[in-house]
Parts: sequence; structure tokens; C-alpha cells
Amino acid sequence: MTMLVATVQIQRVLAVDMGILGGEGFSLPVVSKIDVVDVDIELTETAKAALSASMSGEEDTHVLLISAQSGGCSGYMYDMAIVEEPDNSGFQKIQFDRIRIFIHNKDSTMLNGIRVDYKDSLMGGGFQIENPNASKSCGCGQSFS
Amino acid sequence: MLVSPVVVANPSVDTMGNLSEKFAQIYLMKSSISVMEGSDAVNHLNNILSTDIELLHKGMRMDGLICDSNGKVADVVNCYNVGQSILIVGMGSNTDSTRELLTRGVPWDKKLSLLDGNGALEHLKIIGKDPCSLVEKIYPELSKLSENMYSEFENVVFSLGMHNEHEIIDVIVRRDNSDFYNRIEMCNHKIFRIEDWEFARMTIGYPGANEVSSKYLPHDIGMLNLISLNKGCYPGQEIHARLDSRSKPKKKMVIMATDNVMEIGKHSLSDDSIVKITSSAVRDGSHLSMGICSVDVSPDATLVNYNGESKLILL
Repeated sequence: MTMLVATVQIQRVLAVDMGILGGEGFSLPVVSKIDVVDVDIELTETAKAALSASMSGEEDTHVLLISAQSGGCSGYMYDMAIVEEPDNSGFQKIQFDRIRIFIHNKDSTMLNGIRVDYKDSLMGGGFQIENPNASKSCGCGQSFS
Repeated sequence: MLVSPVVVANPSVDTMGNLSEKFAQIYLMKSSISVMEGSDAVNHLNNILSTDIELLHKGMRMDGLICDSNGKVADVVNCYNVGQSILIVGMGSNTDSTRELLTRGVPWDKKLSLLDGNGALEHLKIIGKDPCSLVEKIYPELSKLSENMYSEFENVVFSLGMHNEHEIIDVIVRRDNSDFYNRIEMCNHKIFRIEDWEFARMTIGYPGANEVSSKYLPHDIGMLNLISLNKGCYPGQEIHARLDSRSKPKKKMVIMATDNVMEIGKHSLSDDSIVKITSSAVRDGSHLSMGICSVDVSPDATLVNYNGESKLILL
């Protein structure tokens, strides 16, 4: 697995044109440290079947997008959505038969190694994510840290 | 910039047992100053902070805690909506961890940028007796300050906050704003250093780097007013909600006035309880410490096995 660490230090002229952050020549450096790893994920057979059913023949134009963002009781929340293939070069693409999964580079360290499962159950069923990078998960399973 | 050695009168203990400074003073802080740009900045911050800042409109300031998933306080931040950006001021000791948290969870389809304001801006605090009068003296043009709003005058941001019923005025200023520093000098005031702030903050029980270090719950360090139990999920919310519904706080923050240096760590009290001293400072021979002890501690408790006088001051 390769690890790329990109530290970007560029100056940004703020959009506001007056006040404490404005004025000619006033700029601040951008804080941006992006760790990117090659993502490897596991998709169980039940998850594959459930995804195929959900995509219903649109596998050529649609992808499963898995992302992580701030929120929930433990710090970060998962988000899964079937969307039209995004026009964005920042994604890593993982193919399982005809199903394509997209994970954005900025989420790669948080989502590398996840196992996506599907439980067919009336209570607590649906897609579930096991994450080896998570030190803690909240009771509902949607939030992790 | 004018930074002086400390020359101020020591605080007195009033009839209610509270410490009070004789004058308001200006302190230069070692804070983390960041700017979040982007139309979704308030929503993003609201997912992270312990308070509901959804209604942080332009011209407003709101404060909140950044907690870990165990509910422990990792940072205390002031957020100012300055229009198209949010100015975020946190504790300098937590700069890297807070900035990592703020940038890591940005949704891939949101254009949010975090900018480093530390090179260009400075943060000062004014505390002590009637800090608003001191601001009026330096800036007579400034209108009266009110909580949750900030006032900006000639690129200086002033805002009023409260802690343990003490007024605290926060000032954000550009480093190159010579007019600001000249005005302070013209009023015969000085800017005190962060080392001097350590003693001053203890007079009002304001937590510092040792207390805001992912070791203590908001209840332990007197920051209960900065958690909102009805805003929904935020990191640490499960723990805070459980403490609220099934338990009661067991610890609280106290000030210990002594005539010798207090070592950081656990000390026995005369009522058989323990005080855990978290930070300690000295000014002109007066020693103050902040510590955490049981909520049931006796107000008359003194240190045992201590060579000198000690007085516990409850917050």
C-alpha cells in the first residue's frame, strides 16, 4: 500500500473585502494536510446482492459513493449513496463485478479496510460498515471515531 | 508591541470568599486563530461543537466545546461570524488537534477551507474589575458591548463573554494594527504576557491548557454552560446526556490560595477528601492553584501535611 502525504501551504486572499479579514494585500495561509492511502475494502456477497438489486441495471451510469463527515456522537459519520458517476478526479474507484464503489481521497485514511455487509432484518437491518480504523463506534453504528 | 513584566496589585478575597482583582488588565493570549471559509462553515462547525451554533449569524459570537467521544473537553472555542468566514479562536495548546478535526470531516462535495490566522492576528483578553470601562477608555467611539454579539471598530473585534459571573472581553486585532497598541499606551495601560494570564485566569476560575486537555468532562471544569443537551448529536453527547439523566456531577473545579508553591497532583484535605491540583501560578508572592475535587468538599477544608496556610475558594 502506498501512502502519500501532501502538505499544502498556499496563501489565500479572503473573499471579504472589508473588516478585520479584508483589505488589499491581506491573506492567510491555507491549513491543509491531506493523507491519502490506496483504499482496499471488502464487500460481502449479501451486500453485493443488495446493491445489485438497488442499482437495478444502472451499474453503468451509477456508483455507490461511501464517505465520512463530521457528525454523530463519536466524531464522524458514514454516508452511503447511489449516485450518478461524479465528475471529480479526487475519487478512488473499486470494482466488484459490475458494481463500482467510489471513495474520495480525503476519506481514504478513515475508510481504508472497511467491510460492507448487508443484514436482511426488520430490526437493525440494512447496510452495515465494520471499520478497522475506528477506535470507537456509537450505539447506532453510524458514527465512529 | 508593548509587553510589560507584571506589576499589578494582588487579588483580594471578599466577604463571600470570592477572589476579585483590583483592576482590569489586558493579556496577550497564546491562542489558536483559524478562519473557516465557505457557505457551509456554520453547519460543519455545528456538527462538531457541543453548543447549537446553527443561528450564528453575521456579527454574532458563540462559544462551544470540542469534546472527544468520551465526553472529555479537548478545546474551548469562540466562533465569530464575520460574513463569508467564521473566525475560530481556541486554545493554543490544542491548535494541531483542533485544526485536524475541523478539516478531516469536511464533506467531499463542500467547499470549505481552513486558514491559519496566527501569523496575522492576535488574541487578547481583558479581565479584572469592570473590563468594559477599560475598553471604553481605550476606544471611546465603541458602542456598549453585549453578549453573543461582537463589535468591530477600525479592524479590531471586541466581544463580551461571561465566566463564573465575571466579565471577560476578547479582542482580536491584526498584528500590524499600530493604532491599537498606541491607544493602549496613550491610556497608560500595558499588555501583560501569557505567563501573567495564568495567575489572572485562576482568580476567575477560567480553565487553561492543563484543564482543557481531553482529561476532564465539562462538569469537572465548570463548563457545563457550554453543552447543549437538546441540539442532537455531537462528539461526547451520549456521555453528557447520560450524566445528565442518570447521574449527577461528582467533581468540580476549585481555587486554592496558598502561601507556598503547590505541586501538580493529588493533595489531601482536612475533610478527608482529595484535591487534584491541575495548574499553579504565582504573582508577587501570592500563590494560586486550580484543582478538581469532590462536589461535596467542605468550604472550610484546608490542606493537610502542608507547611503553610491554605484557603479553598469554591467556584
